Amino acid sequence: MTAATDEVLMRSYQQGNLQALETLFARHARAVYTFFLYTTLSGTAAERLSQLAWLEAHKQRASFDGSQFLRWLLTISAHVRREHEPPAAKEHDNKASPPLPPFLADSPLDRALAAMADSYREVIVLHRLLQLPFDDIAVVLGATEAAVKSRAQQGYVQLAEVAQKAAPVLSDNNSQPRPMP
Amino acid sequence: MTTAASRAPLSRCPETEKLIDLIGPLGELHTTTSAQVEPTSPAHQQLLQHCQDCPLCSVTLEKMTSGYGAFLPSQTETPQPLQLERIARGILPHIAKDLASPSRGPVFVLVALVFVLMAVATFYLSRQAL
Repeated sequence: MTAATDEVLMRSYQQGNLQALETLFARHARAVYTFFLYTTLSGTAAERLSQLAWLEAHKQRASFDGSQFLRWLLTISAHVRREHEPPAAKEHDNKASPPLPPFLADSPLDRALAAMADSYREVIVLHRLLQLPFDDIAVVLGATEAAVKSRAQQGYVQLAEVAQKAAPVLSDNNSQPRPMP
Repeated sequence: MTTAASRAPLSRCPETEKLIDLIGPLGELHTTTSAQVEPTSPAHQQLLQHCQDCPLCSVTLEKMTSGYGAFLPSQTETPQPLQLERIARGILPHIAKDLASPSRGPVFVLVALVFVLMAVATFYLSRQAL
C-alpha cells in the first residue's frame, strides 16, 4: 500500500478503502498543516482548518480527476481557508509590525514573512516551503500563472531587502532583482 | 560538500543546481555572517552570470544574492506528530463511519419504484372500475 502512488491510493479510497486514506494522510497532512500554519500564522487555526480541509476532501472525493493529488488537496485547502479563516488572521495584511506568532523564530526574515501581505505570503509558502511549481500554485489559488509569479516576485523582493539589511552577502549590482519572465 | 541530491533544490534549472554544487555547501554560500564566501570565485561569478541570462533563474538570483537561501524549510516550524495525531483523531473516525455506512442510493431507487408501481396499479384499477 505504501509504495502505491497517490493517484492509485485515491482511486482505492474512492472505492471505500480507509487504509488508502490513512496512507494519503500520512504523506500529505504535514503539507496541508504547513500551508495553513504559514497562511493563518496560527497553530490553532492550522489544526482546525486542516481537519476541515480533510473532511471537505472526503466529501469531494468523487471530484478527483485522477492527477496530482497534492495539488487537488491544496486547492480544496485554499478554498477552505477562504471560507473559514477567522477575520483576525486577515488583519495581518499590509501591517508593518503584526505580533510575531510563537512558531516563528525571532529573526529578521521570519518577522518579514509574518508582516508580508497575505497574498504574497501564501505564494511564498506554496513555492518555497511546499515546493510547488508556479503553474500548480496558479491552479491551487485560482489565479493566473502571471499573477502568481508577480506575487512571488514581490514577496521574494521583500524578503531579499530584509536579508540584505541584516547582512549583505553579495552587495554587487547583480543583487538587483529583475522582473519575472 | 552539499549536493543537489542531498539538499532542497534552489532552482528548477539544472545548470544552476550544478553551479551551486560547484561553489560549495549552502551554509558557506548563504549564511549571511559567513566570512568564507568568496563572491569573486570563478564558479560564483559563473553562477551570477548564468542567473542573469537564464529565464528560469530570476527568482533564484534574488535568493542567491540576498542570502534568502538561509530560509530553508528545515529551519522553519514543522508540525509535530502530536499535532498531526490530533488532526487525524478529528477526521478519521468520522470518515471511517461514513465509509462504513451503506449507501442510501438503492433505498431511494426502491422507494421510487414502489411509488411508480402503485401509481400504475391505481391507474389500471380506476380504468377497470369505469
